[in-house]
Amino acid sequence: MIFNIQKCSIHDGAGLRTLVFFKGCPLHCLWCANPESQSYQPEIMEIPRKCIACRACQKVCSEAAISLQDGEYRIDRSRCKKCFRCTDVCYAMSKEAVGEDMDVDSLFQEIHKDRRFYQQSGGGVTFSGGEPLTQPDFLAEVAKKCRKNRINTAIETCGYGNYEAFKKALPYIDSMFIDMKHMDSKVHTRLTGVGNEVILDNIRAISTHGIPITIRTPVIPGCNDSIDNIEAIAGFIKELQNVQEYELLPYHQLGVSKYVSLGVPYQLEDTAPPADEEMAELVRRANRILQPCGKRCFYTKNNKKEIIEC
Amino acid sequence: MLTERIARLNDKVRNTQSYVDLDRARLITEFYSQPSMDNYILRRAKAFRYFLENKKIFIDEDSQIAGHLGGERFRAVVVHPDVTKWLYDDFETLDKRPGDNIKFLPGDKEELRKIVEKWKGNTFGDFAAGLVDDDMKGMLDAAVFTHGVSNQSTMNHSPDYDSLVKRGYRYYIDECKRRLSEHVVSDVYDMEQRIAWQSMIIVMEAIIHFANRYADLAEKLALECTEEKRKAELLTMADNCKTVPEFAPKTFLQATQLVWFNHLAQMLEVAGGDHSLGRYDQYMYPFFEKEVKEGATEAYFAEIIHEFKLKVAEMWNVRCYNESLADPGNPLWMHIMLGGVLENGKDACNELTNVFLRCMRDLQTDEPCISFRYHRNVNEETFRLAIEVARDSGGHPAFYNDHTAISYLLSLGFTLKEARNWGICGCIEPHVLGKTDFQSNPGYFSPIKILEIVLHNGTDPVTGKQLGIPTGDPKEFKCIEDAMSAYEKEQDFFMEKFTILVNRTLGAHAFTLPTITGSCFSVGCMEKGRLLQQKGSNHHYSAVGVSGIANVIDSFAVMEECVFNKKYLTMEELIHLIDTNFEGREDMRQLLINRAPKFGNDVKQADKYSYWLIDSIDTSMKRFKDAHGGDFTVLVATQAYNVEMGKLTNATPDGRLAGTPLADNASPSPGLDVNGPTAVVNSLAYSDELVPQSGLLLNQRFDPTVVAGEKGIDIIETVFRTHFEQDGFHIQINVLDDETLRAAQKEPGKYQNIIVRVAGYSAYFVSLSEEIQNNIIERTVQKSV
Repeated sequence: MIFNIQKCSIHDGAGLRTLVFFKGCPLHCLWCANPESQSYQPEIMEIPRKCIACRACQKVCSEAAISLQDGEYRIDRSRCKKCFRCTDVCYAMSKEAVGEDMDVDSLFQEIHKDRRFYQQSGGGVTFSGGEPLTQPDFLAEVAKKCRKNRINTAIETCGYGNYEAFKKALPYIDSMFIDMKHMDSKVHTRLTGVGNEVILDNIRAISTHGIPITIRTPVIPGCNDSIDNIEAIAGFIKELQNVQEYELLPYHQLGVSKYVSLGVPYQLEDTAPPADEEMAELVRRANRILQPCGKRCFYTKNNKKEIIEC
Repeated sequence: MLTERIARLNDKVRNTQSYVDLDRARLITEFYSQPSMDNYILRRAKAFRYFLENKKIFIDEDSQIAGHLGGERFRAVVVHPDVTKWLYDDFETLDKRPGDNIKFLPGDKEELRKIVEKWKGNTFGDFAAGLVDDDMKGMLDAAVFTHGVSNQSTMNHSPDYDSLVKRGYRYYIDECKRRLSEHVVSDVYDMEQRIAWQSMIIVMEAIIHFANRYADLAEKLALECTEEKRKAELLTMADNCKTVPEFAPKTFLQATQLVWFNHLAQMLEVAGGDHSLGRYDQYMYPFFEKEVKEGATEAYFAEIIHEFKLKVAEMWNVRCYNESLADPGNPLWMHIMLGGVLENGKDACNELTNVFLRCMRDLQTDEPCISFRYHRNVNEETFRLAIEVARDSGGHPAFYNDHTAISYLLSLGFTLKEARNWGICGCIEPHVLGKTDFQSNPGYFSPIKILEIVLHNGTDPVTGKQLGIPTGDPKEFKCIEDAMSAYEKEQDFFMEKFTILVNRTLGAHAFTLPTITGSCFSVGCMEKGRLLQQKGSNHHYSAVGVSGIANVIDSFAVMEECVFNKKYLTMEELIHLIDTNFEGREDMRQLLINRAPKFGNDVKQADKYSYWLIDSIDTSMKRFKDAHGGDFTVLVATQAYNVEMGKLTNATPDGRLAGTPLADNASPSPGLDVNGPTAVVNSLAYSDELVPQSGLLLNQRFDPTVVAGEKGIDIIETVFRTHFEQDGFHIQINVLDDETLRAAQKEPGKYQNIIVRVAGYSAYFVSLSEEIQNNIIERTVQKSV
C-alpha cells in the first residue's frame, strides 16, 4: 500500500528523485513526521481549512460521527468506522482517504514519468515510508522493474523487517539510507516502540551485500541528542564497511498538522528544533570517530552539506 | 561593485519623474501643417528628418554614450499624435494611470491637448479603426480577439547589426544611390522603388546629422569642461558621434554607440518599441577581443555594458489605457540574446558572454530583456553562470532552446545557417536576426472565450450578443468529441474574421505608416527597393498570441471526466453552474476542480487536450496566409492579458470564477499544478512544443530555500535540461517567496529592486498594480520536499 508519491525530491539520494511512500511501519517514533505512514490500513485525513461546510459528509455518515465545530465539519474518531463514505463525497478534499493499493505496473509508470530528470541529474527513485522493507515482495518487483529500465533505486528505511523476506529486493537496490535512532535498546523501545536488535542485525546483514549505505539519525532534543548516543552510533558505523556517510537530521515540526488531520495527539509539542551549534557539535564529535577511518558525518543546511571537521 | 558613475546613472533612470516630451508631437504637427504634394513615404521621411534636425538634445554629465529619447532630461515619454488614435481617446488618463507614472511639464498638457485635437479623426489609428466591420467590433468588445498593431506600424524591428557594425550607414547610402542611378522606370509601379531608396537615404542622412549634433554639443561641453578626465571623455564622445553611425566603428564603445543611435532612431520615428538588439555577445565580440588584447579590463567593458543597459531601461513606450493595464510596468521587450550556436553549429559562448552575465550580478534592470540560448554542447560553466544570475537577479536571463527554435525557423523557410542566427522579438518569438519582417501582436486570440460561446451555441453570455455561428445545443452533446468538434467549428469561424482584420491592418501599415529606419537594415528591403511593410523582407510571419490555454484544457478534461465518464452532472447542469457563477454550489465547483485531472500534473487525460488545442489553433490559422504571404504562427503567451480577458469571461467549466484572471501564458492554472516542476515540464512536453512556431512561454516560480547553493543550481539545471531535451522552447524563473512579495506590497520603499518576470519581460515588482502583483503571487511556487 502506497500513501504518497512525491516528485522532484532532492533530499533523499543523489539528483532529482521520486519518493514513493509505503504505508505501514513497525515503528511508532514519537517524532514521526508522517503519522499517516504508520498504519497498514487506509485512513482518513482531515484538512479543516479546506472545508466548505457543504454538509455532504455529515449526511452520509452512518455513525453520526461528524459534527460542526467552529465552522468546519469534523470527525469524532471514537465513533468513526472508517467506511470512507465521507471522503467519497468530500469534493473539496477536506476529508481525504490516504493509502492506495497500487499494482507494480501503475507504480512503475508513475516513477517512469520522470526518467529524463533522473538521467540528467543522476537521480532515481527512493522507496520510503512507512517501512518499505515490510512489503518485501512488492518492493522487490518494483525495484527490479526500475533497474531493468536503468532507474537508480534507493531505500530509506528504519532497518526493521524480516531479512530473509526482504533480501530478495536487495539485488535491485543501488543505495540505502538506514535510520539509527538510539544505540540503547531500552531507550529505543521507549522512543519507537521496538528494540534495536533487529535493526542492528539487519544493518550488518545488508552491509554484506555491497550496497552503499548512509546511516541517518534524526536528532530529537531530549530523546536521542546526547553526545554519548551519537558517539555510540558513530562507533557502530566505524565497523561497517559499506557505510561512508553518517547524516544527522535536525528535528522539525513540519508534521504536526498531520496529527491534527488524523485526529491523534502529538507528544513532542514542547520540543524545539536543535540549535545549529548543537548540530555542529554532534557532527564534530561523530567525525572524531569517523574521519580517521575515511568516513564522514554531516548535516544539511541551506541545501549544503555541513561537514564540521574534528 | 558598481562605479559611482553607474550608480548615479541608475538612480537617474529609476528615480527621475517620467514626463511627456512634446518635441516630436510639436515638430511633426508643424511639419504636416505645410501643404505638400509629396509622396506619403517621402513625406514620412522628411517629417522624421525635420524632427531630428530640430528636436532638443542634451548630454548627461555621467554619460559616455550619447542620445536620449527626450530633449532635456531622463525618462522622456515621446507621444505620437499622428499615429495613435488613443492619444485623443485616452488623453485624460495619461497622467493618471495605475501602472504608468507619467507627468506633464507645466503648460504641456494644454498644448498637447490642442495638438491632439488637430489630429482628431485623422490619425493612423483612426484609419485602422475604420477597417473593423460591425460584427468584428462585437468580437473585439467581447475580447474574442484583440485588434493588434492598430495604433502603430510594424512592432518588431530586427536590424542586421551583424553587418551594420562592420559597415556604418555610409555603405548603405551608397548602395541606395547606386541602385537609384541604375534604376529605370519601365512600369508605373517601379516608382515605388525610387521612392523607397530615396526615403532610406533621407532617413539615414538625417540620423547621421542627428549624431553629428551630439558631436558638436559634446565638443562644446568639452571646451567648457575644466575637469581633465571628463573633458577627455567628452572629446571621445564627440569623435564617436562623428564616426558612427556614418562609418564603421573602431572601438567597443563606438560600436555600442552605433547600435544605440540606430535603436533610438527606430524609437523616435514611429510609435512602437519591441525592437531587437540582437546577439550582443556575438557582433560585439571582435571589438571586445581587439581591446582585450590591447589591455582593456573587465571594468572598462562593464562600464559600457551597464550604461548601454541603462539607456534601454530609461526608454518609454507608452500605450493606450487598456494596454497599459495588460502590459504593466512599461515593458519594452527589447531583447538581447546571449549564448547559442554559431553559423557552423558550434558553441557561441565567449568571454564577452561571461562578462555580460557577470555584469548582471552587479546591476539588475527591468529592460533590456536578456535571454540565453541553450544547446546540447553549451559551455557548462557559462550555462551555470547564466542560471545563477537568473536565480539571484530577478529572472534574467530567460532560457531558450536552440534545437526547438531552429526547428521552428526551418519550418518557416529559413536555411539552416540562417536559422542558427536567431534572436527574440516581441515576447518570446524567435526570428532570424536582420532577415525577418516579423509581426508580433497582430492580436490576441482567446480560446476560452470561444469555448464560452460554444457552450451558449454561438452567443457570448457576457455581452448577450450572437457573435459566433450556432454549433449545436451543448446540452445535447453526447460525448467529448461533440464538444471538441463544435469548438473547432466556432474557432474556424472566428479565426477567419480575425485574420481578415489582421490583413487589413497590415495593408494599412503598407499604405499609411511604413517604417523607414527599420527597412534600411532589414535584408531584402534595400535589395528590392521595397519597404518592410510592402513586403521588402524575404521572410515574413505573424505570431498570434493565445491566452489562457490551461482553462480550456482543464475545461475539456472536466467535461470528459465529470460529465461523460463519471456522470457526476449533465451538460445542462454544468452550463447552469457556470451561468450562475456556482452561486450556492461551491461543492460542485470543488468537484470540477478536484475530481478531474488538471493540466500541469503530468496526467495524460488532461494534457492530451493541450496538444489538441494548440494543434487545432495552428491548423485553423494555417488555412490563411498573412498579407505579406507569410504564415500565422501560434504563440502561447498572455502578457497580463489573462487578467484583462478574465474580467470579460464568465465562470468556466474548470471551476474558475467569473471575472477572475485566466491562467497566465502556457502555465497551468495557479495552484492546480501540485506535482512539482518536473510534472509541469512533462505536461508541456506532451503538448508537442514543436507545433506552436512562436513558442510556449513557461513561468516557474521556485521557493528560494529549494534552489539555494550549488545544489540549487543543479536542480534548476536539471529541470531546464530535461525541459529542453523534450523540445521545450522557453523557461523563465522567479525565485521569490510569498512572504517577500507580500512585504514588498506593504512597504514598497524597502523593496525597490525586486524584479519579477511577468511574461517574456521583467518589471520592478513595486511598479506593478496591486492586481497584477497578486496575480504573480498566486502563481504556483515549486517547493520540493
